[in-house]
Amino acid sequence: MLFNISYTSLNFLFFVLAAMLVYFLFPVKKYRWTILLAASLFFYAVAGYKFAAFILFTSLSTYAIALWIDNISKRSKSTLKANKTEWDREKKKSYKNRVKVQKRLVMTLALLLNFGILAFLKYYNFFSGSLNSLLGVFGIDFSAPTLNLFLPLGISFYTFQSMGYIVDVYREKTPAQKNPLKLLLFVSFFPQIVQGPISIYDQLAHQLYEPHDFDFTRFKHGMELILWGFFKKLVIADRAVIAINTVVPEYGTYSGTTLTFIILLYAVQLYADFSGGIDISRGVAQIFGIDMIDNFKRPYFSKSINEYWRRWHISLGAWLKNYLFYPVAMSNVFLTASKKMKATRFGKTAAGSHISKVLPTSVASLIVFLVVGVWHGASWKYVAFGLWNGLIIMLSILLQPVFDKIADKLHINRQSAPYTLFQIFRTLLVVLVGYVFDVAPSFSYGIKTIGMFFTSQNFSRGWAEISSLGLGKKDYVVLLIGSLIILTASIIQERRPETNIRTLLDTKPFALRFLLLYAGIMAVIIFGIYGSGYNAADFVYMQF
Amino acid sequence: MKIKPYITRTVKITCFLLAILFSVAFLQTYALRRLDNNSTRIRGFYQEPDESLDVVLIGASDIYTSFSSSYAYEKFGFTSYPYASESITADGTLTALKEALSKQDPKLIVIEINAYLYGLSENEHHAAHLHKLLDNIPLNQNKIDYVSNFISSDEQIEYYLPLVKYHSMWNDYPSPVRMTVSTILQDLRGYSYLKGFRTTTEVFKAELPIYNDRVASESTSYALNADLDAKLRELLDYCKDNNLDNVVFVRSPHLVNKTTMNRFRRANGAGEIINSYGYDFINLERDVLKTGIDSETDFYNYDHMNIYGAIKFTDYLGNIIQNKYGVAPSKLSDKQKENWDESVEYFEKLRKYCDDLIKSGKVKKIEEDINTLNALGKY
Repeated sequence: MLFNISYTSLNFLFFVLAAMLVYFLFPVKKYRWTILLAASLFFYAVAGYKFAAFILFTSLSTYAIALWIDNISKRSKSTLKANKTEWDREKKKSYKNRVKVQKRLVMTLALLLNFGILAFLKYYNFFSGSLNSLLGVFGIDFSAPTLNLFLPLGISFYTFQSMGYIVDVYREKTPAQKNPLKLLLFVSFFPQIVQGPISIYDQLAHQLYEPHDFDFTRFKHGMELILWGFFKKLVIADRAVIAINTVVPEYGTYSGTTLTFIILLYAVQLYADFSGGIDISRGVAQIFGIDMIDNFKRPYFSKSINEYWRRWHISLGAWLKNYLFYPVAMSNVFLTASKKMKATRFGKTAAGSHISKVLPTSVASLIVFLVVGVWHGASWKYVAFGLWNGLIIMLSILLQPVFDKIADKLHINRQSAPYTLFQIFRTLLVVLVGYVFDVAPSFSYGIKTIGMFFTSQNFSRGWAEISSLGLGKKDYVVLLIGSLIILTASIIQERRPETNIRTLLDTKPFALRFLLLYAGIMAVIIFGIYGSGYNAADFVYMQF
Repeated sequence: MKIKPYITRTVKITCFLLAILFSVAFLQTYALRRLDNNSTRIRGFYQEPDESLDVVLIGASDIYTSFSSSYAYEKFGFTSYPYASESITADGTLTALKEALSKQDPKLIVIEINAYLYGLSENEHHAAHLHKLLDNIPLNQNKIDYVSNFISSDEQIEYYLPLVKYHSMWNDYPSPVRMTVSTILQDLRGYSYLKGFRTTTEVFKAELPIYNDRVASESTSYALNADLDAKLRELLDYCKDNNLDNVVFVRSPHLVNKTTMNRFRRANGAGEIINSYGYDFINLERDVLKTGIDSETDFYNYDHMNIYGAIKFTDYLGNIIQNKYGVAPSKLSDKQKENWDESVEYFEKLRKYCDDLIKSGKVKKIEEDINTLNALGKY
């Protein structure tokens, strides 16, 4: 980094304000998008200039291959049109199939190139290490070398976003972008490059290229969202991470009570960190007149793990659903397997009929969550994290009729508040178990921790340990109050999902708005974790 | 186009921004800031009327614990003030000189050379010592020069916006209230009572053998650390280039022992460099017997004199300032005289207060804060 331009730095705020001034004062409205491009390139150059070649390669290859696919589509359409009367149905079908294969090959080239780079940089050492261990078990004297690899800033996010665009062009959902600079802006747009959200071309691109005029309400709402993001990140997440980072290096020495506390704290920290960062990203984009998709919808209020993944990291979930889940679940292999099972004797029973019906979706879910796990990091503990979530979802789909029957037999009113609370609590527990693998230094420690929840609860030892994790009593009070503020905002938002809190705030008297915003800014200034006394933590999802 | 809504909005935004600015300024100046005797002292220097001081003393704790400006005024009639901060760096010494000259036109500048005598130049980068000086210098070219030349780029913001560094001090409350209230009261008053003096009420019993009786005959010179040597020459060049012929360099007395003997020898080396530029260097450590300073009773640790030593030292150095350098008291306005007389009153009370504490064996750090001023009110 040439200088600190992280989202929570003063430099970033000045950079955004300067970019905003230039953008809105740029006289040729049609080309205002070039200011966004220049700002994005400047941001990337400052934050990760050493790796700029990677993002340029992805942009360029995506641009060229999308055009190639688009050309094939157009050419095939004109060929079909030209031969509309001359070709019979069979010939048209065979031509279409040939074109489809050709397009798929070209698309695969783009996917291999770009996911190949990502996979190599992110997973090479993991696979070489695992291979070496495996071969060692069989006594084979072979050692794949460990490489000193680096991860370019935002590589997962921009690769997923670019490849989503390629698939959309392949599916003819969107035409290929003819201007390489415009595509570069879509790939590198600075508010989303660090940790997403992973935008869909159709949703974001036209907003980037359209000229926007300054709008005070958008500016105000954008700044309010940035402030909310700063509060979550600096006051809560970066405070909580001090205790978490104290525990992790000496994980094995703490009691089950402390580890339970740390997992709960991690749930708060991770949400505040990731959603706070996304709030900052969305707030900045909003100032420029661009609405990015929200990545979170109060995930800890989810009533099932399936719902949780529709509310947490929404853009990744949507990407995986569109570009992985459906292609897998709807693939010939799975559909055929489902049909074959249905035709068996077992398939004709009630359970067999249900299982054969949901088999493609449940197995596809498991595959998707394996990918989610591996996406989070190159380690077996992340594989376990993905498997845990995938298995729970798979089982919940497969066993749904059993759960329904039990609920009916017990006369449970599934609309009642206590049952809803039970569902929320149950889901939270499942999520927390998944987090164990996130926090623990390794898979084996993760398993050990789950055991310690039941065997090593010692409150007096835990209390003593928690008091010496680098946070004082006053810090815990700040964490508690901060979390309650987020909870209150989430409850308000959950009850009125159609209105956002900032719009709601606009209807309140000036004095109240003044007071709330003043308190928010002062809270960040006073209670925020920043400056040389602390090592400001990077956004957790930045590493992905 | 209706203009009223725009005016209303502008007024609201302005009010909001002013509230934020005012609050940040208050926090940064008084509430969330490391306030201590250094801030009181340097703040007090800037509160002195322009061109009202006869003598400015520059240096580290070696000077502000050993020389009382109030007592010197009482005894000799000249006005003085120490522009000094704890473990001031060599670069800080030059900055302090520039700052002193930007406010005052003193008849004599006394520079205590402690900053140049370290065996290593690590003190130059000691963040706490840098902050103790720089946090208290108002934003001006001298400060910008220092920060941009000597502070790493990612830390510079903390010297311009100290709140970035100190905002986490909310965690220390209520203990910072003492200095917050003291500083607000000093600012409301507009001047310092004790003129930057600070002491500890203790009579130090040295464990190591003391060499103070030997140093008068110790003529061995050691070279300075190369970096600090260059910085001393830079200071001397600055004095020369700016025709400052009213500068004298001194070394205040310490309890010299086996480990600090080398520092004494480096002071000899520094003296040779200073003399080669045509400036006087008075090694008062050599004169310690003449000053009457008693190594048994007049120090609160190896490096600092207590109130008894400070009075003897002020007497001795004041005499030199008056008689050798001919500094005569300037004519003061009634208001200035009133303030200096008040300062003398406070010092005399302080002297008795320290004496009582020392005699009753109570070790206490004495600086200009509400606790000390309240205690002095009883005398």
